[in-house]
Amino acid sequence: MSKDNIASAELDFNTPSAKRNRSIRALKDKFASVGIAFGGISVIVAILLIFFYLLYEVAPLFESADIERWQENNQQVAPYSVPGEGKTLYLTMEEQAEIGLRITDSGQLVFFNTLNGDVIKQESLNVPAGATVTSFAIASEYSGIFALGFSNGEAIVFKQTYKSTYPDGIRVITPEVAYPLGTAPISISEGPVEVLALNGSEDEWTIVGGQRSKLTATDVTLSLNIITDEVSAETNTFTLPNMNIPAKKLLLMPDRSWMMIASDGGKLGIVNMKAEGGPAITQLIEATTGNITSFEMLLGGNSLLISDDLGVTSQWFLVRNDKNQWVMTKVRSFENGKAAVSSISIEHRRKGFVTISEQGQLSFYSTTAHRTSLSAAIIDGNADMIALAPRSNALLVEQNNQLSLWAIHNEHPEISWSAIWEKVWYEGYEEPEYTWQSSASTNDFEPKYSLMPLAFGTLKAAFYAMLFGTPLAICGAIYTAYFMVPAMRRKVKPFIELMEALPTVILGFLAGLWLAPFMEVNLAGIFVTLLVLPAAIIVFAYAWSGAPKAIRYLIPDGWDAALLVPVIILATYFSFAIAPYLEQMLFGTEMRYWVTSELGIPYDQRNALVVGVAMGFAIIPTIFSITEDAIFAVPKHLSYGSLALGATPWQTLVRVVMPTASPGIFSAVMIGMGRAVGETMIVLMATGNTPIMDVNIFEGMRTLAANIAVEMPESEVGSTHFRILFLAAFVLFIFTFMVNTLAELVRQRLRKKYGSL
Amino acid sequence: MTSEAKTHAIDISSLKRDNRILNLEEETLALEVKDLKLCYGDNEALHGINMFIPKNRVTAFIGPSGCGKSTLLRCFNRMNDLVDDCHITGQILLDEDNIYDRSVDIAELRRRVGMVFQKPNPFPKSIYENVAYGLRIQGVTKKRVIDETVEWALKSAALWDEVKDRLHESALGMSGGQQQRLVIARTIAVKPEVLLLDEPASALDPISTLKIEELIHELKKDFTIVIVTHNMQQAARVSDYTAFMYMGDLIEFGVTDTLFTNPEKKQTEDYITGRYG
Repeated sequence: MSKDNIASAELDFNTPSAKRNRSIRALKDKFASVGIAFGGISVIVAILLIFFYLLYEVAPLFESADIERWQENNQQVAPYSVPGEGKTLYLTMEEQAEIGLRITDSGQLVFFNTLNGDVIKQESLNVPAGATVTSFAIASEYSGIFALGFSNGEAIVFKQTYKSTYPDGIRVITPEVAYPLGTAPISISEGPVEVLALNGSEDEWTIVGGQRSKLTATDVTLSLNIITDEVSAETNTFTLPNMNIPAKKLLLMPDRSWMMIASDGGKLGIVNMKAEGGPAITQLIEATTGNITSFEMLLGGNSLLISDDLGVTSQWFLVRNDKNQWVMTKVRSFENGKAAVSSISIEHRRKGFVTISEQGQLSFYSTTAHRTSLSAAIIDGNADMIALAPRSNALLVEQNNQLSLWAIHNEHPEISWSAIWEKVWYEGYEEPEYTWQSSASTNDFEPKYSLMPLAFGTLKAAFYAMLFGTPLAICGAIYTAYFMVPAMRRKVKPFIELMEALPTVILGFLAGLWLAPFMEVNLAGIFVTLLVLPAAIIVFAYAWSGAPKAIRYLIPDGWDAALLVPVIILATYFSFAIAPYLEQMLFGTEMRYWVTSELGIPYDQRNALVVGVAMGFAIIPTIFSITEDAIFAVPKHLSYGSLALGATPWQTLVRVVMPTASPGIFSAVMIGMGRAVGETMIVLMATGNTPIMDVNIFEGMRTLAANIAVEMPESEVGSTHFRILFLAAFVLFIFTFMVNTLAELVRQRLRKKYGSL
Repeated sequence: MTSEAKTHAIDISSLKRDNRILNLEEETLALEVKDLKLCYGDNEALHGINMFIPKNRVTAFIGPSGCGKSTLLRCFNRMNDLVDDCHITGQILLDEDNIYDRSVDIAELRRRVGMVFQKPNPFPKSIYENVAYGLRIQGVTKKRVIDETVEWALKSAALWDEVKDRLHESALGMSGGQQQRLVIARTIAVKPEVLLLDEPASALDPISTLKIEELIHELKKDFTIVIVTHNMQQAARVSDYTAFMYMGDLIEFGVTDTLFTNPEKKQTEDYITGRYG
């Protein structure tokens, strides 16, 4: 109680060393604040850089096309007069757009330099004496195979080819003409060949031609004589029945089972060439109220493009109806103001086309995306002919006997908002659908870039993971933070947090290779466990509370959870033991077969249930840890206040602790969800990666993240596919960004509400 | 120690108090403490307390910091159970029943023995909901009953006039003194028999403290009040009986006037004359 008086030591705070110490201290403080600010700003800058880089890669997808006069050596290429004689039947270019080909009505093939119109090579087709060219047909732009029909009922099939050689290191392209069916014209009709169509492949060809109301079909089979190495053609001509529709133009699909006839006005006839009892017309359609001005097939030969003089181009393809019949259906149409479409050119590599109207309005369309990537008036008046280069980077326009060369920049026409997020009616599909299918085996394949199945799959995986993980994590956190004795809590919490360090690839590996097959075999056991386990826990808890005190008091308060361990093990064992009998009793077979046969739900081995459990495990530590901290951080004086009022611990928890901890719990769930949405390895390994849209728990899914991981290695840098993957990453980024921002906003609000404690 | 020191003692006669003659022997018992020992781990904080709390009186616990007065107070509604590593032996009888029996419903005990803490701890809810909380956890759902009880409790806590127009605003927007009276209102709303006040005014300004003291004076008509305070003037002003504790022992327990004016033990005298603490 008594205080000794100790003389305080002399302290001088103004000695040089003290001053030096102060300045060093100030310097350290400065360094620390600058360093910390630098670190913080770097993080923000890094995230912004990612954001803008993604945007930079994605932006070209939505750029519109542009067109300008071709520039060569910084000089605009001036129009030049059409090389060669006669009227142009068809105009095209070779791969590099250096050489153009003009097919004339005198049977001449004029190869010319596209820059100046100099004739490089001119080849006369074998026109029969006294005959004139009466019709022209093309198999497909991609194949470069054409046919000319003559007035004497004969036709000739020829093919443009180009050879690149490199004498002296300079590329020289030499055009050549090949005759796949022989150099001599084939007789296909009795009268003049007014209309003509051909298609086929390799050694099976069909040529349809003849007069407008009298058509014959000629099947040509090529066979190679092994000894002489000569190709001989065998022809078989038969007359088609009168279709009652005078043909103006014919088209034949590559499989040669369907022929389309464009007639006067807007009439369209569809002929099934392989119908029972011979070719028969299946449909007579008024395709347009105007007059058909052009009639072409899109890349792949599945779609018809019909342009009319009202300025509308419509896409048609065969759709199977509910009677299992193929019906030519108008799928979408593209309007080009009101001016008549005078010429059309089909893209060689994509499902797109270009039209030019009578007023010189040029329009670029992509069919799948239903997008007009360019619409510009480039010339005055009507163009006679337009031709796209194979790479769609150049366009030749013939007008008034003049040819002009244009450069086109149209990198990603097949992408539009509707192609990504809306249902798209793809060729051959019965109805519009959301489909992700980025690659296939054929060149004329139409890539299907709907992000909906992926976004859906992402949410589905996250949903099932949250469904499994959130209740477990939150309940566990509540118990640990609020009911568990501190000694046990100190062991349990780090242990669960340690789970977070488990690499997700291991979880995915286990899920895909062990859990998925296990679940497939023990599906009933899993479901019985899900029902039995909670019931067993509740029954045990009830029994325990009713047990004699002498037994209950053996267990110290807060350690009673340990009693549940044997209960859980027994209940699980029991569930798996009775499951086989139970499923035999209830379903008469194994549950997974019952699911497929009775419920009609396909059962995938790697399904949402597996992902839910595996990814649930991955997110439990995150949610658990943050929730536990939030609950534990609720001021003790609040819970004491409630307890002192006579509330039970449970009432205190529900009415005071949980509302106060709600900002933290909310962030925990949101961070868990962010993790589930962005998680890659587990979904990659355990979902089967099927991009389907189905909420069903027994089917798989493909998530945005897994999709990027799967497809990035196979996408060509700079291609549409490549950029679409970046778009998927961007969507994922925006998604997690929005979830986190929302979480933060809600958390701030909650914190404000419960904050000043 | 010396007789001059006594001049520093509080002049009891100057305080406004009823002048009833109190006698500990004649009081009815509210709580009886029998040989209560309490250990935090290996450290014994209470060494066998024997005392009783008279009904409908204000009993003050005084003593220097760490003497065990708050610990003893928290034993009355078993708040010490929430402290890790706390072991209690002995008995506390409430209506002849030992509250430390394992069969006791602790929540019900705490309803009967309410407690107000040093720091105001309103819940992050509205004023109304704070007071209604105790009723709701008891399963009272009739709005009329709750409304009436809330009004009664707030009036009893002398808070009604200040808050009647903002009952549904957050309790966290009130001043500290108001919050503490709200907590008292919340506690009395469940009609406890005993009200434990653990230094209820120590975090408050003098005016708020005065209001709390006036409130205690009013409340003792209906409740048995036990108050822990380290402010001896406050103990002298508000209490009928005072218990002086030192180092985990009950040193002296008696009528407040007597204890302050004529303490039996020297330790008591030392403390109230300000020689330690």
